[in-house]
Amino acid sequence: MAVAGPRLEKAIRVVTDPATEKTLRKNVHLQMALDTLEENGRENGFSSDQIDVLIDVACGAKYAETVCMRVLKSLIPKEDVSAFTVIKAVSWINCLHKGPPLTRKVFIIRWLLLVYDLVDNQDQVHLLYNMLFPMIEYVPLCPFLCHLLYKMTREDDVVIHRVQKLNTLIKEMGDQSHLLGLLSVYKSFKPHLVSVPIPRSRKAFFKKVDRDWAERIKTIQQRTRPDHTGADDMTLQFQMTDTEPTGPRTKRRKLVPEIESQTVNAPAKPLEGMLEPKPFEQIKTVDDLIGNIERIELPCQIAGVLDNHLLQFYVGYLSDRSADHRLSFWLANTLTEEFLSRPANENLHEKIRLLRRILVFEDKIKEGIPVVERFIHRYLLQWNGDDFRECILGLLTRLRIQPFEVLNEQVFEPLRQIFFRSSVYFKCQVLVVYKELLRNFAAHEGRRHTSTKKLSEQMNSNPYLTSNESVFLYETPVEDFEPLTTILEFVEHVSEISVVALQLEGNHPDLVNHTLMFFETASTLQDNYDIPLMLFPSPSICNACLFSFDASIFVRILDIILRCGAAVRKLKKARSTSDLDDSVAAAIMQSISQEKIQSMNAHITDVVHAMWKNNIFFSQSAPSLFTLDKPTLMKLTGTSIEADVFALPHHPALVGYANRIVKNMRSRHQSGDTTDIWVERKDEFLNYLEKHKLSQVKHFFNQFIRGRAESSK
Amino acid sequence: MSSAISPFSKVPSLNTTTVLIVGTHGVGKHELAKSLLGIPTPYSVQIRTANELPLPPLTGSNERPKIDLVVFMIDLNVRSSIGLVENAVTALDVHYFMGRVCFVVKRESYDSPVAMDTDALISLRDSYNSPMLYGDVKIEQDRISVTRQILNLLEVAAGYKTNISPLLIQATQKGHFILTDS
Repeated sequence: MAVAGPRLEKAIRVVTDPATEKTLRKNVHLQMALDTLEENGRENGFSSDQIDVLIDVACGAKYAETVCMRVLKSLIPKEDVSAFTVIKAVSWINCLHKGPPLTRKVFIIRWLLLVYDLVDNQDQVHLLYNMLFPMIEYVPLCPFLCHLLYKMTREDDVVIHRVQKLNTLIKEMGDQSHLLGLLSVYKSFKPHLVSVPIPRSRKAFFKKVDRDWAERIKTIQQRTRPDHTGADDMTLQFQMTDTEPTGPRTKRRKLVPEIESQTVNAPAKPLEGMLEPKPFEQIKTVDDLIGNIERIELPCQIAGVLDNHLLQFYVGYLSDRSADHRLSFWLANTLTEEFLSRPANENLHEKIRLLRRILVFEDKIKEGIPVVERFIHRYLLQWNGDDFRECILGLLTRLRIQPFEVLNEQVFEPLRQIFFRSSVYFKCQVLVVYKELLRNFAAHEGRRHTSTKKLSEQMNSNPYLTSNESVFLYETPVEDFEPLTTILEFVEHVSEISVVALQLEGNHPDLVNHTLMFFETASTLQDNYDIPLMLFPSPSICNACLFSFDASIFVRILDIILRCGAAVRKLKKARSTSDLDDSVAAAIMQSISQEKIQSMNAHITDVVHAMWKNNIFFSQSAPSLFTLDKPTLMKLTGTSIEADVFALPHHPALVGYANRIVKNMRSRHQSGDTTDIWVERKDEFLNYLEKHKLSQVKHFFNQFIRGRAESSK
Repeated sequence: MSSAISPFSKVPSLNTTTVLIVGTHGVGKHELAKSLLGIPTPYSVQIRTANELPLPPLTGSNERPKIDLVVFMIDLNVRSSIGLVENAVTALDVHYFMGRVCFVVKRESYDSPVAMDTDALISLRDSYNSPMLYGDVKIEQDRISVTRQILNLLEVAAGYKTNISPLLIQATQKGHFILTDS
């Protein structure tokens, strides 16, 4: 495996012998010698004496270019490299006549760069500084030479004419990183001489071109001198020179700044009669916050609020509006700059982080920030539905309540367009957002609007009042509108789009589920948040759910109908007794208009007749959604349709339960006809369903069939 | 206008939809077309591209299929692209603007010297009341997103969704954008 000593010596003799043929072709001796040298370079490396001899071959002009390059590339030192070898190489480079061509000079410099750390006497090599420096004018040599000089430079080397030379080169060639690298080391020795700004963020001035070559040298060195630290030093130095100086690149593009207060850096004397300000960095716990709440100094960059939950409490509590103004200003600027003027994929993680922070902050103060809303309005117009989806949709759940026309134009309309051309999962996400938004309107925004409206009326007499309901609302004039009307129109809008979406997606189970979730929230608003509205889903949603194949969907729509029925009764009572605002009364009237109540009643009658009374062909005296006429139906379908086709045990969602209970009864009664069982044992079926967590069916019929509730008790 | 193409002038062919992509040279029509063809659909998608409208009169025995969806591509970095689209939309039958047209807009790149004002774009969107999809078809992520949205529009426009027409979807729009001069 290893090249034997005599063979190597013979090879060296062959290449150094002046009598050897110059040409490589048909020259077996030379070819074999080169192979041996290359093999030895790979396996063992050369001693410093061998390198000293071979460097003349590699740099000399005797052989063809390929031969010289092969020799040069195989010159892997196994120990130190003699300083004389380096001097020889440099003098070959400087040789005007018969010297190596420029391409080979580049390689020689690269080789020098690699072995520089292994040179035994670097002081002697350093004497060559003056000879090497002028060569940086040669463009191909420049990058490597700069790196070599970067390593060699000592304080004495930094003189004004060299700096000037570099400056002119930078002017001619542009601020190439290797020139800047050399300048940076000059600047570190004598900063007064170098006026060119060196970007501190620069990670690496010099490209690593000879990675493999360096790796090979390292392996050989480690193999021959494992105890010697030179090799490790070399790699260490490589890393240091390559990565230095490290600038805080990540910090530069960090969007949310750290908390930093003025007093920590330059403690100022407090004004007379004032408490000494306490910088926010020193506030670590809630107790600190409460103990020092009178004298807290806000950080220099208010946006630090987004990173600190204690500061968020504090800003929420502050009656001083300057902090809010500062934060609004910063947010408006940053959001516009980052999201509307720059490509979406730039600095992605920081952007997501910023949006998440804003979300957390909004959750904490429980209200939307007006500037963020304005940003959302602009962003939605050019949103593709994909970028930052989770965060953008999250921000939408905290919108402030406004007249529906305004919200529609700014938010719902752009979102509606994306909604209809996106996948079913996006549609579900939007419905979740709408559900949360509805809850937000009901739980916070409606009340806040009422209180700020009152406040703004008082403000006319006393402009120094502040609202304790809101952190940010002060900055927008409160419009005079009825929040209940907005909620009502909003639910109608969602009802409409979900009808079309359900049709579009062929009643996709997920979409049905999310639509129902929205209307469940809507129907519980009155109980949970005291919103005097009856919010009934559109008839087509009801029908789709009432005849769904899924029992859980069937009972959920029954539940919604039940709640809405209760809401109507409550509202009718409230309307007759209490004295309400005109606008509120109008909104209530709108929500329980004759038309809506009729639509709801029609559903109830249909369900009762079709499912309970087993008669789909009932007389049309009561309001009903579908009018079925037996002869027409016969003509249309060609088969006879029984009146009990939709009876409760035949309901597609409940037929499985019916089947099971009939089996049970049969085993008990040995009776053949199931219809008879059904007629007699409706209650047993309902109880059976109740046992299987479908109690709403029983409640529904108890509620809407006169006299049932009493008799079943 | 006799040369205007109309969505209802021809009988649709079975299980085939046709998209017409209009935009200036180099706006990425073919990237979008390839991407549209790359996503499997239950019906076959045919794509025609044109640099401008109206389309030239037919020569020989070639026949144009019924065009279900027209996609206009605008690159805000290319000044001519929006003017071209503004001219081209006038060559379309008015029925197309009920859900059978969409615009694909490549945003102006940050610090672009020739980036255009978006006013023209907004007025285009508002006057034709058609969806505007933002995305750069040369970037894979954007392209896929745009492609999927166009395919969803196409499926509705070509009538492959039961009981759904583009007009029904437009009917869910509440109120209208009001053009203001300010």
